[in-house]
Amino acid sequence: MTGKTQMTHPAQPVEPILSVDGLSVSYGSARQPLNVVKDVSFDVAPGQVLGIVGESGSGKSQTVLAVLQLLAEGGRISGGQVRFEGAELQSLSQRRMRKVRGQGIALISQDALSSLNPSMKIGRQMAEPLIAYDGLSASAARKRCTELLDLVGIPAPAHRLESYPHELSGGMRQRVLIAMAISRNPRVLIADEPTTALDVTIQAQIINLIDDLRKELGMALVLITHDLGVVAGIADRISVMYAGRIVETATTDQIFAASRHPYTRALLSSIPKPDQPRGERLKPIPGLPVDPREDVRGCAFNPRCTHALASCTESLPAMIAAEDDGQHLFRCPVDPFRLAEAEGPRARLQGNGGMS
Amino acid sequence: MNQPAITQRRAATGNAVEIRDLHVRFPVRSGLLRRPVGAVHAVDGVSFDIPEGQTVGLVGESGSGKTTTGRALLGLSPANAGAIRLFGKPLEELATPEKDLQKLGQLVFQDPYASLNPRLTVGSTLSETLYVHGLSDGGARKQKVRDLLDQVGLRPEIADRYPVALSGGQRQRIAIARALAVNPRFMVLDEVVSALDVSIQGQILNLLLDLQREHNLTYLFITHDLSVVRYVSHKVVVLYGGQIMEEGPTEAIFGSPRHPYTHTLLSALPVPDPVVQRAKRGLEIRTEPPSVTDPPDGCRFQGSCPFADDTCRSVAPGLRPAPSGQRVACHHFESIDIPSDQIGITRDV
Repeated sequence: MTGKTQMTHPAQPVEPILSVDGLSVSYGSARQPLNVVKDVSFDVAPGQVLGIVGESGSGKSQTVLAVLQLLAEGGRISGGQVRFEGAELQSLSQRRMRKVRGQGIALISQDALSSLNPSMKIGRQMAEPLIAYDGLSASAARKRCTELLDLVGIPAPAHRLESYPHELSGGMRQRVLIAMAISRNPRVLIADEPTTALDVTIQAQIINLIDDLRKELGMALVLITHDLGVVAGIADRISVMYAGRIVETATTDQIFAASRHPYTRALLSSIPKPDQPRGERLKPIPGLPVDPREDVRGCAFNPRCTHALASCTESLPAMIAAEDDGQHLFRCPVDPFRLAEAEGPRARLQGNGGMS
Repeated sequence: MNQPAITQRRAATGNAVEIRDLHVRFPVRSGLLRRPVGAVHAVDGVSFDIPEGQTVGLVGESGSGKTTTGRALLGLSPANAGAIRLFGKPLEELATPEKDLQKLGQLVFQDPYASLNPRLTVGSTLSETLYVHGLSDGGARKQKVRDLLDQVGLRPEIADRYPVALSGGQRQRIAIARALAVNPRFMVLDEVVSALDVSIQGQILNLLLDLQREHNLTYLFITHDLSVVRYVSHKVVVLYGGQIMEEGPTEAIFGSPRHPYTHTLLSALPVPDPVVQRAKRGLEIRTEPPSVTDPPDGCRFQGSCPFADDTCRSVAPGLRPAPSGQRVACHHFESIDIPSDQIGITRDV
């Protein structure tokens, strides 16, 4: 068993630090809303790593923005609630919410270049919140920024404070963003596709860095990605999103070894394996990714699902638990043996090769 | 390394593409008069062949010179030195008139959102390409547009839509259809699936393989994603800092990689398997790309290589054959032994 030692033990649940319950996000008018996040719930315990996996349009980034109360103009939380350290975030004043954003929950966004001010030196951008919110003096802030850059592995940190963003490589810029995110000692770090635009070697370095910092600073981590490989090594739990909903949530080992939702399974088998022989056809998911403007009746995955039952096109399948402990939840009524049978000998089924 | 006189080999080699000692440099200008003060050595002595009907996967990270190599093959990045032959003919001969070269080789880009004109319907985009390449009869063009859409697995109604109404995968199919419009024999595919969702990538890769079989197409498949390259390529060329580090049959590169850089790339690749990923968690992965304006003496990978010694810092390694079938540009590859279950070379550095 190589599982994480800090994994929450099912028998004695730890009080979550971040708790999202039935969250829905809508854009547009109340009469014709565009629902981009639907009834999303998850908990993150202190020090835990939650991976949220989904493709474009699955609502994963909108979920994060809603958690931070940073939805774009026209977007609103149309249902559910977000609790951080027990406090309901929607009811907080702007002032208190600003405090939560830096010191409670910090965000590392996808696009490092556009997240940094191109006309301001790294040092000044980093120091600004430390001076404005934490009341540090200019020289103390400078010292802290140097320490932070050193912590995220930037060589010659004092020298780098004088650089402009364009003078840094993509990987270095992402390190600067990480340094800024942890600068006010947040309890929860949310990383939204932090490595998407980066080369594979840099990607591995950044993911390792984020996870090292999490351990060192005792943060919880929510890692949002479209790449199951990226979360495989560090997540304790994974929630898979499709069309604005969480369709399956389980421990990392359960997701990879015994997933129960056809979308999760199809996603896993569509990834080219490292030992995929040349010319052996890949198994992409048929059809098109879901368009949030379309409201599919029943399960949103049913048009692309090879196992769909008649009931799947009529009503939304309920979230069911694979076992009594409630660790593994999924929205699919299809019999697991039918799933495995239809997928052939390479299919993984619960209990086969599972690690936990 | 001796330069074989490729003039003597003609097309009889069965190679669709032959590149010999390709150099591409971009001037770096500075000051009021924009005087050249140096040069970016984007591609620095690259040679490889692509047999007709096959695929070479050109792998490397940003700045490795992979896109520049692909563009040079289609005459879009002027080579400073070296020779390129397509189907036995020197590129310079093919490059005028430009259309002849375009008919032979086509380029498909990474970003299907930027490579299609948003103001033209899909039908007009394809029709325009056909018109430019001499299909003037309107009715015939319409029919051909329908054929092209069918070839890339799209319904004919798509012709009336604008790119904005299409998904990323559909757009990439249109970009492929546009490239097919001139019946090319060779295609440079530059990161064609990188911008697509994983569930859609496979659809496009399967399509490309089908088209290759049907039309005996030759591909240069440029990517940073090793997992994709294994699936499509007969041969893999690994670039770093404008030079080839390792090249050879796909099975050899993936089965027994010999260059420390190839090891680094493979170990950094995220694998959808928690056991493997956790085991790799302790590996330290370092890469410090070499300066492109002032490349170091010796091996380009020396700055990030745990095995680098004085020889590596002074003498540039040439490509030498390895027993497993590939050629490797490393002074020490014979003595570097990494267990296959431990493809992380930078452990314990």
